[in-house]
Amino acid sequence: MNKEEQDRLVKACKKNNRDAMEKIYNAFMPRMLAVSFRYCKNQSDAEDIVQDAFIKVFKNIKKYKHNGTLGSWIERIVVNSAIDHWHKMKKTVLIDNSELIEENDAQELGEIEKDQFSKQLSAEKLRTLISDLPEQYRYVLNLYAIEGYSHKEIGKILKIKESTSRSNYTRARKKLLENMRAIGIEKY
Amino acid sequence: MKEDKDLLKELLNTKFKDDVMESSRHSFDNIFDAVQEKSDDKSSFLWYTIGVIILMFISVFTLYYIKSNQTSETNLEETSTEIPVQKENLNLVTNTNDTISHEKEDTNILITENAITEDINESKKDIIAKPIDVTTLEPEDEIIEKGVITVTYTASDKYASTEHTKYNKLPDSSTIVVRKNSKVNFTATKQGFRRADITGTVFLNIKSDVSKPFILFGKYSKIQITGNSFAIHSDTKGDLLTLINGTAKVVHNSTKEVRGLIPGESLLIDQNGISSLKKPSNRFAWKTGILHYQNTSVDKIINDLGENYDAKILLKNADILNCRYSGSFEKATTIKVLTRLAKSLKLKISKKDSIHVITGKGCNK
Repeated sequence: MNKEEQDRLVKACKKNNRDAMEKIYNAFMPRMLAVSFRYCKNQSDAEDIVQDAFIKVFKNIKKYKHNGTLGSWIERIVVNSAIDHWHKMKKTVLIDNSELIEENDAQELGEIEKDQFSKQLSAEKLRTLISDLPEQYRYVLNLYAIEGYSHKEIGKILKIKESTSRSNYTRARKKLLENMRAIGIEKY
Repeated sequence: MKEDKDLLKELLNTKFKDDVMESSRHSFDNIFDAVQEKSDDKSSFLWYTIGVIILMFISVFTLYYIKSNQTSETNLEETSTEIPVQKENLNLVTNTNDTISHEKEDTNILITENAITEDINESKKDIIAKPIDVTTLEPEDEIIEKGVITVTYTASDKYASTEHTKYNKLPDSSTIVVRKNSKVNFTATKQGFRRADITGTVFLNIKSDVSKPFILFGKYSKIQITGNSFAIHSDTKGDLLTLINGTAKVVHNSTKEVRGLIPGESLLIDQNGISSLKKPSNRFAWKTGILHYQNTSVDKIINDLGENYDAKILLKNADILNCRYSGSFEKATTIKVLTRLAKSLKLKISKKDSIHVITGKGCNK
């Protein structure tokens, strides 16, 4: 969908046009579902988050100022909805692994290995490996490594300590690498 | 170390740059309906506001009229009896932040328009007769038209948590507890039909009234009840029911299968039909005190403790979440469950302020 078409559909959405909304939904839903699934344990939760996000998108479409791309605006809403989902579920389990992490524990990911993973590990498989991480690790990993938030910001967003965000990220990275390598061994 | 961090970030960003996924359900209709709901809410709010303003004008005019009559010293006794009624009416309309007790008065006025004075007096009696431990809360939304009242209660953490559990009194005097992230939409009609649409987990204590059947609407079923105590959870996956006392009749929405329930019985209603459950759902443990686990992960058990008892738990090792446990609890409490888990899984429990801290080796996946 090109920019002109997007702008035309956004304009129609602002006038509450159902067809325009459905076109935007159909165009962006697969991408948004993939984003949302990285924060969830199962597809059903991911679909719930996407549904909530699109409701927010269309209810607030008048606030879209055409500054960035429509896709990145919707993606930000999906990530915010995933964060809302986190708070909604009110975390009972807090994980603090700081005492258990040894600096030399995580083996480095080298350039060659990275290239191998890049070629041979599908996005779908990587998504599943992230979904298998404990929830708090998963959120910190996504927000830090993919969305680009700092640990300080993540601390504020998830209402956890900055140091907890750091230790969770280190642990998440270690676990993810272990799981990626476990698959790699079977594969090569 | 730094290089490692950057390379993983780089890998994730490359892999997920254009990642897409196919959905298993098409939910645009629900989305569009939800978007429209907001506009409907806005328009009903507008009409409600206009109605309130008109009623205020009428009340002020009536007061003025009565005062004029008083000065002219005609029909003094008759008009003086009307003043409190009008004042009451005015208060109801202007004080929108009042509790349900007041809204109940308001609804009675609209449901039985012909008996305004009597209804207000009856409502007053109801309020006095209300048990002290029942705390009423503001309904989120209220729409009144043509003798139909709809009240929506949406629970947030603020008043759905166990420590601060609040009992809402419905306009028909039934009592409900709306659990975290749950919603009840209650409708009563002039004809005596009572309906509650449930999303999430709700406990109900229905006021017995044979002339006014009470029907619960779940995602997959309708449950007709007279006077009883009931726990229900409804979401997209299915409806879970546990009857605590009284009787109930369940009808499956699509198969039309009918099933009667006796106290203590639990049912699961989903797209496959109605099936009996040996134990009530762990979701209802707050009310039933029963938790049942069969090779269940500690992750799930800890979540249940949070859902039911507001337990806050800090794990010093995430691998503990992978451990699995089988066993049942009656009159379950957080400490009772954690002590049993600790014994079985060789973990250590301590308490720091209100947080239970669990340390131990944990288990592999």
